[in-house]
Amino acid sequence: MIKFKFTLIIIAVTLFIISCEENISPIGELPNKYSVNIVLRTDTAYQTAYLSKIYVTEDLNANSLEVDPFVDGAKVMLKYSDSNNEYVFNDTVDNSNTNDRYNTPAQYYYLNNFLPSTGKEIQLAVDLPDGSKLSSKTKLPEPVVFDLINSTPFIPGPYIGNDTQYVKVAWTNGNSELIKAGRVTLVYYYRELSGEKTKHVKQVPLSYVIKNDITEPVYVNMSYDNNLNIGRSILEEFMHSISEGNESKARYSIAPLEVEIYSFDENLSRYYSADLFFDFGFTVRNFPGDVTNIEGGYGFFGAYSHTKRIIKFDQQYLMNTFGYMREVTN
Amino acid sequence: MNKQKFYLLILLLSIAWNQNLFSQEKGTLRGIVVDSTNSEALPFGNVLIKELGLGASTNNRGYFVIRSVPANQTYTLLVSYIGYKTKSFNVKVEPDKITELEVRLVPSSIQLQTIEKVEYLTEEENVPDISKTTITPKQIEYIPKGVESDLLRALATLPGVQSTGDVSAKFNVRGGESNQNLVLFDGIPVYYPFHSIGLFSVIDPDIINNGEFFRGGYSANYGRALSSILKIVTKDGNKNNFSGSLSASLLSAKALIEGPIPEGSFYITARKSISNDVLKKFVNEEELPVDFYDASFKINYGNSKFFSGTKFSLHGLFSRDNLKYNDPGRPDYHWANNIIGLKIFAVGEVPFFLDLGITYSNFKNELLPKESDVKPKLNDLSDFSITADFLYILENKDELGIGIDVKSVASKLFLVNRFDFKADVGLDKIGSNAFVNYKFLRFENIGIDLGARFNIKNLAAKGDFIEPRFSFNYLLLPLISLKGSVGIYQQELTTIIDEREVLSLFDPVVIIPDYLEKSKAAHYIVGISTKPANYLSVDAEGFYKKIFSAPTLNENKSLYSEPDLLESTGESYGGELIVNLNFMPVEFSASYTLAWAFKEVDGVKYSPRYDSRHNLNLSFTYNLPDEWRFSTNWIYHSGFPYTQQIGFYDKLSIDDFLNEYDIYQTLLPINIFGNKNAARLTDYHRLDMILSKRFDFNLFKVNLDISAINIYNRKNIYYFEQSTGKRVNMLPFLLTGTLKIGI
Repeated sequence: MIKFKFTLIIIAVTLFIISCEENISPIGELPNKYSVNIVLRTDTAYQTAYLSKIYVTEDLNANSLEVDPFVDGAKVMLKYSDSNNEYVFNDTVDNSNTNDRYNTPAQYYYLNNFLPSTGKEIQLAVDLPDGSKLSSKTKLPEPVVFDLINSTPFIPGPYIGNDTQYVKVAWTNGNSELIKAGRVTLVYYYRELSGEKTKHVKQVPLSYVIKNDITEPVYVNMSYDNNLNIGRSILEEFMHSISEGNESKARYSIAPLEVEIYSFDENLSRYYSADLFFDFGFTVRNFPGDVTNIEGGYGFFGAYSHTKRIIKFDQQYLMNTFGYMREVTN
Repeated sequence: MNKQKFYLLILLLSIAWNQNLFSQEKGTLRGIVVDSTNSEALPFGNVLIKELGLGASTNNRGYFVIRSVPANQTYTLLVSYIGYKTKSFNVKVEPDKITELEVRLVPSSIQLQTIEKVEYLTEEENVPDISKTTITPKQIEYIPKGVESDLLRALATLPGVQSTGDVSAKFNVRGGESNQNLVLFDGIPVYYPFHSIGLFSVIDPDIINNGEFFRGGYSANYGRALSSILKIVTKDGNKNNFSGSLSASLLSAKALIEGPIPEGSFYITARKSISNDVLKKFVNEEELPVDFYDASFKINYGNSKFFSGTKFSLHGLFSRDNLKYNDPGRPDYHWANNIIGLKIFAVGEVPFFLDLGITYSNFKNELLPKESDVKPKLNDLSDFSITADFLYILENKDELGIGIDVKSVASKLFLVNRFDFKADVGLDKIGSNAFVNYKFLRFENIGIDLGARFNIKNLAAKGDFIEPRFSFNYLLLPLISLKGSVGIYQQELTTIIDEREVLSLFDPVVIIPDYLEKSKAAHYIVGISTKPANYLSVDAEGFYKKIFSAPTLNENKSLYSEPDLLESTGESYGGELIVNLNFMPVEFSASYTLAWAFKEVDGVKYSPRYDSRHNLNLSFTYNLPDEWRFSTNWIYHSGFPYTQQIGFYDKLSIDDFLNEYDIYQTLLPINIFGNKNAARLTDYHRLDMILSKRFDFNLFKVNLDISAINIYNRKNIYYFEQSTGKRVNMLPFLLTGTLKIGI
């Protein structure tokens, strides 16, 4: 009987030991590497960059990091491939702005008076204080050239022989491999009884999605297509909404619709497309996709060009449909 | 002379070299061995002519043929089958005739089996059978049930077969991907043989008569799979009486009806989910609102006189799975299998078997986004096939098999990406394969299987015309046989697997696209087998598998023009050992595998997620008096590879930078991962038990099973959540039960 009890105890202890959870860390060794982020824009001559050290937190919750991993004192430089001119960023501690994540003064690199030339290859080089080097390159896409024949000339457009369900914007030189982002802005004015005019700038929704029973507007349309179709019904619904509750419709004057097309370079196109073609919805993934294109480290270097087209409204259409005036000063 | 012609010549010479073709004073014994209670065929049984020591095994339809038996004499025929009383009777063999028999064996109780010395008779030890395991419904029953007793889960207990988690019944064989296995349901391919998220198979074990599982080295009559073939033969239905059963588990309820019809028999079965509470245990206590059913039927019609007839069978399998969340923000998923086939099986006046089939297999998988961010997806695969297989048994025991199939496959895959970009990567193709294989069984000590598959018309665009196969069994000593096999294998359809997904709900099956090579592998296997006693067998095999090409998801695709799939290569090698001890009332088996697997994509070589160095499976069954049975199973494998997270870097937010922004406000932390699958999870082990009792109440037969899974509640790691690093464990301790009532 004693033997039997002893055996049972041995079995119970063994089972207890082997049932325990063995410790294993999901975290590997952190290498000494850096990350740099720059997106060059042709709609401004003020370019900014952020350079930081990669990091790890004990609980694998990145938001528990309390210190800005920004790295200053590095040489962050741009150079066209066909030129020897260097454009060097300055680092700054901007005490007038706060980095909300760390609640510390904002730190970043900036470059003034640099409007990137489209169609040219441009190189990024970063020399860090510890001797590490980061590099990357891109070619700024040419701005789109609007196709006037296949674009709606005015809103609502000529009715005869045309589909007026959409306000169409088309362009001719888009690379179908690269993503184009379209955004539409409505500028309008409201004239007070005193005669004072106030300017309003609003993004026009291009579509709507329902998320958790809430309908949300989508303001940017991304596509490989070389055209952007703005739904007339959505546009009109939106234009009605700007004067909702106000019977004095004639006090509103509408400026031409602004359509902006952003042509992404290959890097940005990859950034936006990554992991999309088999984005299996459920997913318990242990290795998500990512696009990083920095030699020697992490981060992202990309660029886009920007083009704007305005489409005027027909006065009769504005008046008859909405009761609005056409803004003539713009 | 090119390789193909050389190969054909060898085959023709082999057939011509048939010394006993015109024997005058010899006859043939041919028969079927069936269960006396329901006339179901008994596969893999033994038949022996006692006086001559000449014997044969029954095939998977219960048939046997013994040729070249000296005629005009009366012999004692012994027919045995585990679990049945051995039958001994006299039979007279006529010259130049086929003597036809139907042998009806009576089941024996466990008690009788322990008393009666079961005659394990001369098996055909020279028949090449490398890497082959036969499976009976009883073996499936003996394995403790997680949710349902299941054939595919039972496979994971075999050496060389690896399952990557408790959740899924998907399996990997000898370092191959899970999409390199072909499941044949009465000869019809089942492209996605799983219920929701791969929990268990759509094939109800109650309809299985037998299964044959080939882990590699399979002969030329099997093709279109790189790593393994699972051939399932369903039962015919009770030919003697009407009978039925009802059973219920914590997950589902099912019913089975079977019985005789004029000149034939039928069965019909249906299974339906009744609750999914138990499934939460499998997915970390998350809600898994699964609703499923499967149904199958078979109708047989044939001449009741066994040897003179042709048997027709119409059979089908239908399954539906829905994963529907009440939350409109979570997408719904649907899976469906529709499988139907007409089979004509003919037994000729000379010893040949002819198997004709017209089959249709359809798999549909759909993702409905509802109000979620996920985009809709649809995969629809239809395979319409006509097959003809012919087997001729020569006087000298050699066998010649010839077959051809013609397939029309339509695969559709509709995808929509985040930009509403729609893609249809489907293909419609017609393909045809033929095979010839010749088994030299004339010699007592050696058996050779020589054959080839011919890709007359490819479904996939590029591939080899011929797939040569060779295997042998050599009886080195009376109790020890050496085995070997070498062959080329190709595959034209594939399931697209995202290796980054621990658990996937959308598993599209497609024809390999034209820009890739057809999947191709070579198997090299050697083995040794011994049976030192009637109750003990030991088998050891070593394998090397080279995968020359296999499609793999392009994880780095980021431009539309880049391909969705890339070609990968791989290799795996290792050794397997299996020991079976059947000493009634005790049964014990142990299997051990030592293996390595590697995969290479785009110049990067890594261990795939299912690569495990050591695998051990121990199972023990004790058949207790009064129809009690106790089984226990202990599974161990060393840790799977995984990719470690090494830190974070800050990156511009994907949504914000078009607007005016402050760069320091738009940064989001992005995970940095180490080298792919460079780290290893901790070892896995689990102890399961099942206690069964059968009760007889007049007409009713009641089976009660109680299973305890992961008895010592081992916290086996499944994966780390990539967003939090949180450890997710596999199945905790789980107690389940099944009640089955039969008439």
